[in-house]
Amino acid sequence: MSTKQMDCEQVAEILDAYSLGASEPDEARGLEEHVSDCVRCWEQLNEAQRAAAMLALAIPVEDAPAGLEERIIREAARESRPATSIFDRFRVGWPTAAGAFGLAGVAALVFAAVLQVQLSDLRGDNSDLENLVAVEEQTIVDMRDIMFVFLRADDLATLDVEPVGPEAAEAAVTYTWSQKDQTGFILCEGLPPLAEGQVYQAWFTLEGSPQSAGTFSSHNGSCNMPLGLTESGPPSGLGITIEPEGGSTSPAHGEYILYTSFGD
Amino acid sequence: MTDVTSEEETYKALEDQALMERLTLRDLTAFRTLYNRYSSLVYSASLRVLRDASLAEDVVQEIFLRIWRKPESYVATRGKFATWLTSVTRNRAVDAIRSRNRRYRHETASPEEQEWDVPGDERDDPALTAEMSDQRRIILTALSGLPAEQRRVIELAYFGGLTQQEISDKLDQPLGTVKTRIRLGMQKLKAALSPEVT
Repeated sequence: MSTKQMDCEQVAEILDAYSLGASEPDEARGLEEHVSDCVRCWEQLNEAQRAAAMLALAIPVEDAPAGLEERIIREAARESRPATSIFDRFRVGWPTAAGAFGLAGVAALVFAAVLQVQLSDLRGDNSDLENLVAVEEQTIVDMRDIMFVFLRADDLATLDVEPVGPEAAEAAVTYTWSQKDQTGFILCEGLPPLAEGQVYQAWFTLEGSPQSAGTFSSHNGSCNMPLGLTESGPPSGLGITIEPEGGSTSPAHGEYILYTSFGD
Repeated sequence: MTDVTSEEETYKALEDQALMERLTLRDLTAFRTLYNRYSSLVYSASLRVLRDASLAEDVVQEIFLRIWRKPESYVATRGKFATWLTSVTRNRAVDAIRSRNRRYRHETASPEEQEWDVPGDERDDPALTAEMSDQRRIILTALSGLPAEQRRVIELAYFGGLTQQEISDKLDQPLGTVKTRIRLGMQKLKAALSPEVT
């Protein structure tokens, strides 16, 4: 059948079959070409297609398999996470040799363990937490890549970030980094609780001024946050403040709850 | 602190279009709500076409992730979300089965296995929303009004993914007979479904 010769009558003959997906390919092409210029046939086709689509409602309904929901949500969560330069930068293959592993390496493993514990704690029945779990699970995958970097790094170093005032007196915070790979992370326990609408914010002291290094939240006072360095070398200090959600351009009250100097 | 239960209820109360709009903002809770609302329908439609639970799962995942990635692909002015979703699902499932060995499928999916649920059976299904249950009653009633041979060719076309010629070959009926049955059956369906499809 020539696709150019199809008229309204011919289209009417096949549009029901087309709407069911049962027309032959050459018929389908002829119909599609015709309805692109014929409003009347296009409307009739829409009607037939809606009727065909309703057929799916007539079949017995079976529940989708258990586990499929989480698989799909996890994948959606993974895709929704913005690509961050730090993750992309350190997405590397397996290390050929593990580097010096010492105290900072132990901190790196603790960092991963904390993530796992948080994940376990987050498991629950409500959808909000399940969404969070899905994101956290992907975070662990990303963090694993960073772990590979740490495991082969031979310049790992760790500093304690000390409480400045009584507010964070119970906090135990460390910053572990590799200058060579320009990556690092904060690990903390016992952070003071946040009020609604507040976040923690990390600051590097660069040339005497605080520069935001990002915001983060805690889970029961625990935190873990990737915190990379610049090529120019470590900052002179690292501090943590409590800021309004979204973070601030400079420490809101000019006071750190935790701070450490990098020294020489 | 956010009241999670209250939030869930809020999302459940949202209509499909509102949930789809939230997907453009990468709202996972809206996505999960849509999944819970329609996963059974999508899975069932896929399973009916594919006759393979594993392949049906793959189609469900592909369909929902496609929605997640491109929520704008649904245009509300063109019809109801459920209708669009089942249509997309059926098409994808048929594509999947056509990529498999046709002969194998034909040997394993007999027309008898592909009968409609229970034409005329107007039971509610708890997996369906109230609106879908209403539509289910309407379509089952409409199907119950068709002669069995018309239902059969429509079934083979829509869920079997067969062309009219293939149905003719399969049923050993003249092609003209198959075409007539499809046309007459669809005309009756459209008439019975008129308020829903026009």
